[in-house]
Amino acid sequence: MAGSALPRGTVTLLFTDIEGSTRRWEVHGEAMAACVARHDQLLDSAIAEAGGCVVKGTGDGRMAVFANADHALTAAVEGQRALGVEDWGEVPALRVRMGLHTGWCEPLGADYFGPVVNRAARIADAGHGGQVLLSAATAAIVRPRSDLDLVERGSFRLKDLAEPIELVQLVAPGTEAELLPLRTLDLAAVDLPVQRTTFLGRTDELARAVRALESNRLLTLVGPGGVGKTRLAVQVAAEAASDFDDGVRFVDLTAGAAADGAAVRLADQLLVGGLVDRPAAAREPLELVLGAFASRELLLVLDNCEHVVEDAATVVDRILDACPRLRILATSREALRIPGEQAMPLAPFAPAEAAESVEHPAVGLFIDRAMAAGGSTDAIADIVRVARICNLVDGLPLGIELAAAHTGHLSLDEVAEMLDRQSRSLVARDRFVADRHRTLTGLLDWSYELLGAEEQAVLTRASVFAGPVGLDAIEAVCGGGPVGPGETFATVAALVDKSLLVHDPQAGAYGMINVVRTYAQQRLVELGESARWCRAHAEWGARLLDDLDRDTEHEELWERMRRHGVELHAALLWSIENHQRETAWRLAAAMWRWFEMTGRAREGRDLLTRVIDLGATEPDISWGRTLDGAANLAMATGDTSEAQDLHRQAIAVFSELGDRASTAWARIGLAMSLLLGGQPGAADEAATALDAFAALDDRRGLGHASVSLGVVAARSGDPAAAEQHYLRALATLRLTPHRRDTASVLSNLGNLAQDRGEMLRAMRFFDGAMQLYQQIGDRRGAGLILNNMCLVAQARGDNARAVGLATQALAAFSEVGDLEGCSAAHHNLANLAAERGDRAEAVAEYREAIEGFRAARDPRGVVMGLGNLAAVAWRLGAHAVAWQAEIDRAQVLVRLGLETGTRSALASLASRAGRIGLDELATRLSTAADTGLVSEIESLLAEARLMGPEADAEPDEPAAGSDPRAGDLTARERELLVLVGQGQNNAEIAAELFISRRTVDAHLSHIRRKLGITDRAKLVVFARDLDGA
Amino acid sequence: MAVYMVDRDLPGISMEDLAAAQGRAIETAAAFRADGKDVNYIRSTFVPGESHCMCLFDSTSADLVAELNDVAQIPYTRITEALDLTP
Repeated sequence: MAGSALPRGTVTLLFTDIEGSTRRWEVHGEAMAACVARHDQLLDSAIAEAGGCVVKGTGDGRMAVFANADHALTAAVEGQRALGVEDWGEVPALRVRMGLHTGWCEPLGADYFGPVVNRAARIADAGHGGQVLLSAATAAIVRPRSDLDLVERGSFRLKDLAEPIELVQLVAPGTEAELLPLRTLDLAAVDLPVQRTTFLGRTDELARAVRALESNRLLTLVGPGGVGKTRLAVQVAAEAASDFDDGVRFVDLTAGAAADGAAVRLADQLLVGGLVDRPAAAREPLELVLGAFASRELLLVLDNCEHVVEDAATVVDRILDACPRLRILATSREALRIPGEQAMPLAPFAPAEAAESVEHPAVGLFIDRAMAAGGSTDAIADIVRVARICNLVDGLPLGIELAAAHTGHLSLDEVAEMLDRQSRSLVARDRFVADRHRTLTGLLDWSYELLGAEEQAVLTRASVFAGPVGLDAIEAVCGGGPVGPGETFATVAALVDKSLLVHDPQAGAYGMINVVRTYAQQRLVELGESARWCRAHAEWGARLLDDLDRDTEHEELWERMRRHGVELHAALLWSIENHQRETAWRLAAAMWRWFEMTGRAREGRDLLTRVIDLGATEPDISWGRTLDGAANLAMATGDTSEAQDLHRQAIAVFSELGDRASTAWARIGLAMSLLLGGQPGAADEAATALDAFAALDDRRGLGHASVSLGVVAARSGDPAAAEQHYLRALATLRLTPHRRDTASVLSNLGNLAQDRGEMLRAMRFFDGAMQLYQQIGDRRGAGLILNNMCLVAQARGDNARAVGLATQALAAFSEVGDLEGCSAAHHNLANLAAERGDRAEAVAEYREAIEGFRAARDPRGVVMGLGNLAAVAWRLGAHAVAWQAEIDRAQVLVRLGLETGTRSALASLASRAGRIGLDELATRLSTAADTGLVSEIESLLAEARLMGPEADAEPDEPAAGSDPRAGDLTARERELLVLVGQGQNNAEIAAELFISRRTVDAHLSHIRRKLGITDRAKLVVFARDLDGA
Repeated sequence: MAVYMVDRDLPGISMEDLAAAQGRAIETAAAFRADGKDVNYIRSTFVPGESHCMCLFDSTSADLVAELNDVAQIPYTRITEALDLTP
């Protein structure tokens, strides 16, 4: 079709494609060729009869254009009808997907280019054979017809990764009437940045990368800056997304503070992206990441690894090791060089010959971008000149985009001439710089020099942002000088048009690709303005948090950190490194809670320690809050002595400032750190705080002070007093809007009732807490309560209900990526399976729990899991499993340096060894238990590992069945009873099992009741029989 | 309208305080109804041996029952939908 006959202006494009054509070609070869030819005839005829023009064939499909949308619709309907009644012979009936889209286009030669064309092709691609899909734009302008229906399908994200689009399905005789799920990206699961421009020119690389990802768990796209690694990676991820049940996550490793490692950046962005949520205890960022990914079938895109390449390599290696269903697609200027990596080099486009056509990828890319920039088709149709420009930028895609962005106001010759001049001056200036690097710098110099003063100012100043931000942030930080009030938006828009800023309309954010950011930062340094604008950035960050205080709900802090966490983190680091004390205090005073909430207490504590090291010359409320925050983080990491010291310093600052409420809050913190550190005075501090809050009529404070008094009472063995304090706290906190606080008190009350054997009451309290957690959507809180309820149901003998509750807890913890919570739920499920005598299930669940505790670096959980696994495995006859678990447990205890636990574990192993005829080993284990050095014990355990039972017998009837009463005991009670049999007293048992004395008492009371044995000596005899069975 | 049961754990509460709490529940329900809020106190059962009290309310929502108890300042453990099977 000649270009002159093609319509221009607002046109409707029709794309078609045969479903499953590759398979048909493979199986039916020649017959398929005839079918495709017939298919072409039928469609061409339908298009022509409706008044359209076939633009070109596209593989096994057609691209057609219509000046009238109604005609396009007719062509689609008639085409489907004709295809539907055709006899295809031996080839299964051809089913064709079709897509229609309307927009402004003008032909270039005999073809069309630009976003409307690409969108129309993607709409067709989203359908199934027989389906006709219309964009909302087309559906809005076609006239209603009685013989067809238009069914709205909703908003979808297509694989072009542009903004979501509303799609409509045509339902008419001959078309697919069923509303099949469309072949689009899952909006919830596929988290890829919106792409403003079409993916062009890398078709072969795309296919190769998608294939490579199928057979490699780590694919790294390697190439120089500006070569298009990120764009290709994003497109590969979009194409491969349907292979991953849990979707795709994109993480830009340049987004974050310069001093952060890959793990911190990953954790930050995953937290912000909602993949992980408020895990329990203090953990390292990498553990958070591993926790989030452990069981997911996910594609993780790690962009710009070169910034932290060694660190990234370590992190990637750990992730691949710990997350077997996860694959990683990385981009980097150099390969990560770790085992299993498939590196795929990406080069600039090959030189374009003068006689090239638009099919050349570089030329095609230039034309597409030039049209998007407003270049007229007449001006850019000169392929010879376009090819010259592409060669002048060495075929570098970024260079092509930057050059094309100027065609709206410069002719092709002007663009080429300026590039040529720039290139020659650079060669003269930087003889020893690699050609490719020189090209890139030159291109950026050239683009920069063409900017107006206000554009240059905004570009360089915006380089202080660590990642993409909203216009409000750019306005707040980058205004002044040439950038007048209200001019920021126009300037930012101009920079987007020139491809120097990238706009993500979905996130409402503006950012820079890494190459441009680095360049702009260098320019800012050269201007001598870097410190000024970094300070403005840090000030802006501090202002964002200034109004937050301790009464701010978690959700509010969470929301601000979700939006600005990366920037605030960078601002805090800059303030520390540049000794901006007041700004650092203001940031730290609010941010410490974020570190606590996200399980990164250790990382937060290190940062706050650096802030405190900056010192203070006079009392300041932010300084006091920083001290108090650091104290709380110290407590979260188990350093109670440091916590006490910091709390006392905070109290001194608040007292000097006359801030009575803050002083009282710090006293509650001090009370808890004294209690956890085993120091006296906790009750006095909490009581002083209570009085202060009463005087201030501060209900929330009163509630928390009562809770503290309750915790002190519970710890000192006075559950009745503890309950009174908790109930007082409950009554007070109910009158505040702080529902999480109230839920936490109800949970404490439930635990107390549970320990006292009041299971029905415990269930009521847990129920009340559950209602509140559900109201505020706190899944982790709900998971904790469900685990508690599971234990209550188990204690009441309702195994089925307990399993249901543990399963719900597991789901809740999985949802928020809380590895420790998941492990606790698995452990409960294992205990329940053991109770039912289900050996396979129990062993599998214990193993899951142990692995989880290991990944979460929770050695107490590991010891508990291994102990229970061994106990159950012995009882059920899985001797090899039990032997290995006993040895594993002993090894962990040795490494933890817990002497009592180690002695008990070695004694237990010695007893087992004796029973299976390993007398010499038994003797050596017994001796080692009393006198052994760590190194000797470790080598003895390694030896023992090779000597135990070789294979497991089939599951025996539970040996304890010899006394039917033993069948009523839970796994935990059996474990405790075995220790009783070994002659340990309650304090030793508590230390061994990492539980409180009170809990041991409660367990023993249940055991006595179940067995009907009140005498300890008789209990010991029973326990030894049980252990020996 | 549905019936909601409000569980309370009130160890050590005296009969006078219990009666006062009931009085506040009745008064507050009346004040709520006067404001157009559809909630009504039905009755309470107290189990002295367990210090456990169960109060029944008619209401359009559990939230309204919670609000009433908060305003009346009567502590509670949980609120659950229930059936009042009065013959």
